[in-house]
Amino acid sequence: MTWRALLREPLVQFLLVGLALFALHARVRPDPDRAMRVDPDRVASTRAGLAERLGRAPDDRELAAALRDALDDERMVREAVRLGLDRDDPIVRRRLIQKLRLAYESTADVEAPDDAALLALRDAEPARYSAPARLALTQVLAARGRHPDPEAAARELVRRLEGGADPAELGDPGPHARRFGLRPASDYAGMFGPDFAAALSDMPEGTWSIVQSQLGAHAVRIDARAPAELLPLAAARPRLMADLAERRRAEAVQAALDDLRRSDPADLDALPADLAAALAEQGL
Amino acid sequence: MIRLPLRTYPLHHVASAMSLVTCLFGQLACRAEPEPFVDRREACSDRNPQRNLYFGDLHVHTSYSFDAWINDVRTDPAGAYAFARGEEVAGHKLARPLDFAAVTDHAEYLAEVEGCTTPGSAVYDSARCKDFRAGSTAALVNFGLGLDGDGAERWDDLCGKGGLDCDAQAGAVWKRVQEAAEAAYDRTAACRFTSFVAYEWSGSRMLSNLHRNVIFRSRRVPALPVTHFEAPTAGELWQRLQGECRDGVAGCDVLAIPHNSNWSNGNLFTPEIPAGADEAELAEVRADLEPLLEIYQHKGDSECSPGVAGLGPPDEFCEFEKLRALPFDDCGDGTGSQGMVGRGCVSRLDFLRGILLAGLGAEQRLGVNPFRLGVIASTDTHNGTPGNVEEATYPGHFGAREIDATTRLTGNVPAGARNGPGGLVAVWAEENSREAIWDALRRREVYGTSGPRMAVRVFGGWDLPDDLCGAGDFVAAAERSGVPMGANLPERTGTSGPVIAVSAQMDPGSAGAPGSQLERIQVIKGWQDEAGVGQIAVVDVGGGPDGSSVDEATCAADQRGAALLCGVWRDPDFDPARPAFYYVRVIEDPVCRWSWRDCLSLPEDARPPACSDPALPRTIQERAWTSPIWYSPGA
Repeated sequence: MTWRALLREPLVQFLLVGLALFALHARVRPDPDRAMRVDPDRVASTRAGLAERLGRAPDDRELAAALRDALDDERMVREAVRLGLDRDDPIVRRRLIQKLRLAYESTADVEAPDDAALLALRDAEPARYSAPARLALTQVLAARGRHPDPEAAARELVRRLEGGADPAELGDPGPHARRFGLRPASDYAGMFGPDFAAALSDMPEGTWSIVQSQLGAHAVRIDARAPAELLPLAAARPRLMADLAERRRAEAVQAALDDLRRSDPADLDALPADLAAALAEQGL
Repeated sequence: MIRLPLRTYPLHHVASAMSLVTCLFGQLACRAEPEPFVDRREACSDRNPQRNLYFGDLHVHTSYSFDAWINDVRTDPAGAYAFARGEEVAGHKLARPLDFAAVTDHAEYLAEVEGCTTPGSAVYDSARCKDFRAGSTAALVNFGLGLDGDGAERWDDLCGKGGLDCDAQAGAVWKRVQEAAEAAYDRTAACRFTSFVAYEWSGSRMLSNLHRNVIFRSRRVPALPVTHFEAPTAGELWQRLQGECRDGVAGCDVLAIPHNSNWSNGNLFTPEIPAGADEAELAEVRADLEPLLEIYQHKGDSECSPGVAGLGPPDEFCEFEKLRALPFDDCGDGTGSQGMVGRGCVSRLDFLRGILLAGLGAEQRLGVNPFRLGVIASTDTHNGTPGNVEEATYPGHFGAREIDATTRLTGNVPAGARNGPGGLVAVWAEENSREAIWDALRRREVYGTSGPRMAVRVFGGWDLPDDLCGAGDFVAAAERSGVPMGANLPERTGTSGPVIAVSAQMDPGSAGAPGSQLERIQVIKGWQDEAGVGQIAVVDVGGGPDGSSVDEATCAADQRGAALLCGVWRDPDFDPARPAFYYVRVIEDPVCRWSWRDCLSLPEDARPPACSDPALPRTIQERAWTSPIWYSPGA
């Protein structure tokens, strides 16, 4: 069994998470006396910090004030915790949750995964790792405000285009090109709005249609379509690796949370039995 | 101090040098054009010779920036790119993904932030790191002040005797920055998204802002970013970018984009000429590496301002998103300090117009224009949310510090209610790839918007057809005899002034959020009169006042503008003996500003003073500013 395979064993992962949390606990557990201790090192670093901020050496009054501020902060934190003020404070709770989440995430194995793991991820969510369907089109606009009836003007455009007129000679002058190569429908939404892009999905190829948008009425012809294509591993690799690392971090959080749920279950005693059972069934 | 030593060029450059003779002395300004780097990637299935429009954000901070981390932002570069591509990140999601983005974290503290936030590092338990993790304002100020001045150095208590190997650490973080960009870059034929490897060089002097975003053309980049610590002045930054990127790494090319000139007290665009240096040569280096100016972002607008002499006749549209409100002192021909804390004098060189005019003056004096600047906008988000520019959903500038309406309206870091959601950069490029977009930035075929995605096309020429705004393909007809935004007019033909042709299409909006209609197109001309004094003229060339209004009780907008505007304008007062520039401004109908939306979300008796401050506008006319087209006599 290689190290890497060993690292993937659930029991080993469980032990590693436990060890990491133990280390974390040792690290964050405050030394009760240290925060109130004023030793030469602390005086020196406070003095240096002040000097940087003030641009000169602080006098004893300023030094004492800075030390007193820090000590007062610690005194107040201790008193606040003693009074339980941290318990219902949303900002304190958010920061604690954030710190714990980061600690869990740091236990995830995000080092170079093998190709099989990457391929499994790709094939589980093919739409995410595909080049999207694309279409090429030509469009000519009759803009709102430039014609009494833009749709009638667009119908006239279509009549002339079907008669062989050059799209470059017709329609209102706009900043965009008239012809586009194969592009995802979302690109057309960006240029001409969501209504325009939505109309493209079932539009026939090779003939002129009229599409209404925020801008007016467009004469549109789809020139080509290309279907969505699943990306080969080489093309999708950087994104797959980033996504897999993200996923493993999420799984590490989830595994830790599952343990917490077991050790700290919800109290459902106040609920009617059938509701409690139904909720417990869904997991709480 | 800047030194410009005689330099020897690597063999591959000499071999391909086009003008070997003038380059023999190895002047910095005299650079043989390297072979353009061609990346290994699938060709885009849409490569449009008439050029497509792409929107992006080139100024984005994440948790790797000290001032974002300290405000509780935990979105990293990968998260920022995911957000730009349209994914939900930290509770935010774009209605429309971006086409491209560059994460530009402050390069200066990459190692220090990493060390201070990684349990078990050599410095994790140091006083400075504890201070940093506590997120105090004092720590933010200390880290900020640590960047000020030409003598700024890395902190010895972290990087020196602190025991943190800051070079190695910064290199590791820089590698992750590159990996995040690579993972986000769409190298398939669909060409949906482009990322850039980039960073921010964060120098300042006496708290006058000198910051630049450094954007690399490809994945070929130096092993470490050149920061303010290694390159204290802009001149040294240019020199090292030249040496470590262009000359040091095959396939590396780079440009630097200054921003927030409105915070610089005139210092960002007052050339520094070290003793013994050649002013014309420095001007060439600058023009070569800095072709753009970011004139709009979270921290206000830098196009023009009331109360500053030399920016043209009164212009109501200059009263737009100003970080500094009157009264303030005009720097005149001098410079000031402390702009980054909202103090000191305000200079005409803090604004695009004054800078472009100064460029014309330098061109007449030196024969080279150091400030031939195209225009972009971006966000400068410190939340890791590129392109999050909607007025209706502005989450504030600085992470947890501005988490609700009240904190946004009462904040002062850096400007509270005067900040805004920032803007976007729009690029006309053949395809959505790194090289195509970077090359468009380089040739300045780009513009900035205050957030909306209106499409604006500008051409200039001597014999553009008068009927361009009639019927037919505007682009095909105009490009036959015109040059696009960002270019220089070709040699003059005929006897009249140049023609500027503009076509603008409103932002079509997204599902459920229609875009605003267009009020007008303006051409802003700048030139020097016979006395050598810079002059500005602002001309409406399409649309005009249209009677639109906003109901301030509900923010409902009654818009009466156009979906499509077009203008063809020939300069009637043209002096062929003097250089000039022409840029375009496209103004939308008004909507509610974010601050007033925040005010309306609060009960009347709970609204902070900003809600009743007559100097804080309740509505905003969003806009686009294009790169200029220039005229040079004898060009």
